[in-house]
Amino acid sequence: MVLSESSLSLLGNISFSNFSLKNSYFLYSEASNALISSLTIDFIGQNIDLYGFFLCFDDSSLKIGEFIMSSQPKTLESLIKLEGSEFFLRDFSIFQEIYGNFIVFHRSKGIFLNSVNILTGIYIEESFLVISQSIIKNFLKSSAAFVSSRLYLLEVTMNNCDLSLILRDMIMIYIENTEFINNFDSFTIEIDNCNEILINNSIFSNNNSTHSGFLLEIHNSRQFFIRDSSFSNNSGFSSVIPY
Amino acid sequence: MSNLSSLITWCDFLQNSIIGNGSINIKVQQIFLMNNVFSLNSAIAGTSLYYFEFFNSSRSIFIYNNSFLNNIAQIEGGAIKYLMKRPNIDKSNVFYGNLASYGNNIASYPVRMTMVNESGIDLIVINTANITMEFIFLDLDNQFCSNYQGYFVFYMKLNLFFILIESCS
Repeated sequence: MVLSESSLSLLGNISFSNFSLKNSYFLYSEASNALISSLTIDFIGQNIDLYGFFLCFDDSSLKIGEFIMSSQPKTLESLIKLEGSEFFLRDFSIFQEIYGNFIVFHRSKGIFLNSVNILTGIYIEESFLVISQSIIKNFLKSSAAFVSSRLYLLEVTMNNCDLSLILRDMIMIYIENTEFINNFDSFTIEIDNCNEILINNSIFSNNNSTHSGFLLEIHNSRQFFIRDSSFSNNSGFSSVIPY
Repeated sequence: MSNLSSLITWCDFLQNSIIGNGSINIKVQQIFLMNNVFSLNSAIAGTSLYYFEFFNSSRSIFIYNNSFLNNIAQIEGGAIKYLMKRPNIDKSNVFYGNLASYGNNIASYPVRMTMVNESGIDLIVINTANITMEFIFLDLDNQFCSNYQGYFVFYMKLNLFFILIESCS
């Protein structure tokens, strides 16, 4: 399905199952607006053979009201690829790891994830990302990289993760009312060369980052503020490493 | 790196078990630590703060009105460990119940080596902070033994260099 300079509104439920996609996109959108109120994907079946991107948006706006993905193939390079686009997603759940990046964002104007239940394999460059009122948990050996972007974590709970959050060359990092609890092993938040960092009213508790090193590592950053936050019962190397 | 200040304030650092050094390990241009509580943390050195900055560095740290309570370091600096440049530690900070083999509250590094006689009077004083040494050798007749001075200065400088390298590593 290709959209070019068009507007797509899918107000009903869409379900996919037992289909094949090779080196292409299921939905490609260029300079278009897409509104999908409810999208259900179930890849369980005999003909799962997916390579490429499921959704690819170029200079477009994509709004998905409810996105349910009960299973997905590990061969998929990325589920969603956005280039210079605006993306709204809420009520999203994903329960398995995928082979490549779950979402690739590049030069995206606004990415708003609300009530998402997982964040894994995300690569974001030159974008503006807001994650709010979400729960991120049970991530194993994953990493999320953010480059030249603005990241807002608002009322997010991240627990039971073995996740490396790599925040590099960021313009702004804003973490507020967010909890990092019971994460382990490689869990670390590494902030490198960021312009401004604000961590406010957040909790870092019961994290065990003995393998990767540091719970919160800040270096080469221009200015940071950590306020009204709690670091308790963590084990590993230093909790906060700004240098 | 600009001259902008960073700030850690009104935060709690409680019961963290640190394999390395310091709940906070800092190397930024200018940072203020204000109104924080560091309590019941454990580490090898500097359970609350580990700070290493060269003497001539323009970076600085200001520590005001924090509470350092019942922290335990295995080796040194029950609360704070610093090397080289001394942090600005205001008297408004509270230190209580911190423990370490050396420096229950604050540990740094040797800045003076003193050889004393049996009465505890300084015989040789060596200032290691800027690697200058002030000492004289006198013989039994209280004469100045100028011919031994050069050899001793070289020997002590060499040993102090290795002492400083060891303490910084």
